Amino acid sequence: MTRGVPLAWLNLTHNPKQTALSVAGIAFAVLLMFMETGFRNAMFDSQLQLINRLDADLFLISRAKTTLMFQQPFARHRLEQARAAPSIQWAEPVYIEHDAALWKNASDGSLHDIRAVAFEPERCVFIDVEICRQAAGLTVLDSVLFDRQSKAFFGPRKTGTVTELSKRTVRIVGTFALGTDFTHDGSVIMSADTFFHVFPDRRAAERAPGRVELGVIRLVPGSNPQHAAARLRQLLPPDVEVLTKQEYRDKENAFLDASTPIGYVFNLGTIMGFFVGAIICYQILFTDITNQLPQFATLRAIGYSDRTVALIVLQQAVALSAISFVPGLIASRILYALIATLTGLPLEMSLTRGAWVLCLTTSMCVASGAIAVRKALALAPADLY
Amino acid sequence: MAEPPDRFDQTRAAARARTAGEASVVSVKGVNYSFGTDESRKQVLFDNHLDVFPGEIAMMTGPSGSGKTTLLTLVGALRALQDGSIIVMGHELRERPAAELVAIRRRIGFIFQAHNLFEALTASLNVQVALKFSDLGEDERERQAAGILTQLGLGQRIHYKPRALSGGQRQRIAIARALVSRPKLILADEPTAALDQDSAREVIQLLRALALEDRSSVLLVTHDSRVLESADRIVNLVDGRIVSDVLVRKSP
Repeated sequence: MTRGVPLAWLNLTHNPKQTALSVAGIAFAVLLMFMETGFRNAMFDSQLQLINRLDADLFLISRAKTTLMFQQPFARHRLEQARAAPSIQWAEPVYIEHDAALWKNASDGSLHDIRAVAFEPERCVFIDVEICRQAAGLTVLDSVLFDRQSKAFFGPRKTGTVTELSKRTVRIVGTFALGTDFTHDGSVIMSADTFFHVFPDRRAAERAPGRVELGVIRLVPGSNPQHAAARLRQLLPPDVEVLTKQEYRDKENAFLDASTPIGYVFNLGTIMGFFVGAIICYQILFTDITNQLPQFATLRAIGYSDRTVALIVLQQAVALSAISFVPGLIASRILYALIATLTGLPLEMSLTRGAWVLCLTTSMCVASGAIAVRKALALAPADLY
Repeated sequence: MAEPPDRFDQTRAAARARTAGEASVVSVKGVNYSFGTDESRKQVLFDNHLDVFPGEIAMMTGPSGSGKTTLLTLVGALRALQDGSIIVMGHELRERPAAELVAIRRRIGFIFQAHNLFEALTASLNVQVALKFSDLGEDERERQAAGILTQLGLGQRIHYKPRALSGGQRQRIAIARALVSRPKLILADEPTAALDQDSAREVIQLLRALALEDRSSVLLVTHDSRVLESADRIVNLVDGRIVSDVLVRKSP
C-alpha cells in the first residue's frame, strides 16, 4: 500500500458498478471451487459416515476387505481372540448386508436396495445417543430403526410402519439420522437376531465359520490406540487387519482416491474453477491497468520502484480476492444446504475447507496479478514526455 | 570530448555561480544520444553542454524534434545515458545502477504535459502519492498537500476527484504533485500548455516562488511565449544541438 494512500483499494472500489461486476465474476469462480471441493468432500465424507458413528477406538476387518462398500467378512472368533488382549474393554461385531437387502416401500410396494446394519443391542456400538436410546426396542425380533435421511422412494418411515425387508416382515420402531452415500440410498439398523432372521443365509455362514463385517473395539480408558493396535496385530493372525479409527478413515479415502475417478473428476472441476477465476481476475486487472498506464508510468518516473508498482497491482489482486470471497462463501453455504437437503449428501463447510478455498482464491488472484504486473510496467516513464 | 561551443553566451548566472564556487544542480557535458541500433540508429542529440544553477529557471525552446524532451528525460534519469556526462544534484548518472537512478528521481519534481492523475484518488491523495518516500506523518502529508493545492487555487477542490475538475485544474494538481515535496530540481514539459492565462501565470509564479524560497532549479521545455518572460535563462535547441544559452534575467 502506498504510504498513506490506499491506491490499490481505491483503484478497485472507486467505481461501485464496475466493482460489483468484478466481485460477481470472482465470486462465481469461488462458488465453482466450493461446489467442486464440496462435492468431492461430500462423496468422501458420506463413505465415512458409518465409521464415524461407531464408538470404536480400533476396528477389526478382513485383510481382504478393500472398502466398506464391498462385503468381505472375517471369522467371528477373531473378535474373541481380540477380547483376550490387554487394554481391550470390549470387542463387538457389526454385521452389514447390502447385496441381498431389499426394502419394500410400504406405500407403493416398490423394492429398493438398502443397507442393513446389525449389532448386539445389549452393547450399543454407536456413538449416536439417539440410536443407543432406541437399542432396547431392537431386542424385539423383526424390529428395525430406519434412517430418516434415506431417499424418499423408500416410502413411509414413521415409527410403527410395517413393511418387508428381503421378503420378511419388519416393523419400524424408531428412526435415526445417518444419510446417503455413493452406494447406499438408505440404511436400517437392527439387532443381530433380526439380521439373521431376515438374512438366513448369513446365519448359516455365521455358524460356520462365523462372518463379521466389522469388529468394533473399545479400549480401557487411558489406553493408547496405537500401542493397543500394535499389540493386537502381533496377537492376531494375518487374515485380519487392525486399524485405529483414523487409519480406517484414511484407508477408505485412499481407496476412493485410487480406485474411483471421484477425486480426479472433482479435482479437475476445482482446477477449472481456479482457471476461470484467474482469467476473470486477469481481465479485470488488465483492463484497469490498461486504462491507467500513464499513471503507473508516472509513479515510476517520480521514484516508485518497479517492485513497489508491482506490489500495488498485487495488493489490488489480493483485495479483489478478499472482497469476492465473502459473497462466494455465502452463496456456497446456501447451495450446500440446498443440495444436502435434496440429496442427503453431507456437504459440510468446515473452517479448513473454507480456508482451503480462500487460499485457492487468493492464489488465483495473485497469479493473475503477477501476470498483469507486466502490463503495468510496459510503459517506460521516459515515454510520458 | 569536445569543448563547449564558444558561440554560446555562457550566462552570467553560470559565471556568477562558478565565481561563487557554487555547484550546478544540473551539469550536462558532451551529451550525445541516439535512438535505434545499427542501420536504424538515429542520433538526436549532439555534443550538448548545459549547466543549471540553484534558484535558476531555465527554459528550453526549439522546434519539434529538436531533442528538447530527450535531453529533459536524460537529465531526469528516465533514460540511460549513452555518451557524455550528466551530473544531477551531485550524482553522475552515467553507468549508475537502475535502483540508484530511481532514488535520484525521488528528489526531482516531474511535470508532464498530460496530468496522469489517478481517477480513483482525490486531488489531495493524488498529491500525497508524491510524498510516499518522505518521513512525514499522515496529518502532515495531508496538510502539505492541502497547502500546495491552495497555493495553486484549488483550496476548495482538495477532496474532488479529477473527473469533477476542469483540464486546467487537473493540470494544477499534477503540478502540485511535482512541487509538494519541495524538490531541488523541477523538470517540466509544457506545464502551462493546457492552462488559461491566469492559471499559467499562477503556475509560473509558484515555480518562481519555489526557486526563490528553496533555491530550487527549474528546467522547463515550453513553446508558451506567455511564460518565457519568467525565465532566467532561455536555452534554444535546433536539430539536437544547443544553439543558444542566454541569460535573460539575473537569478536571485
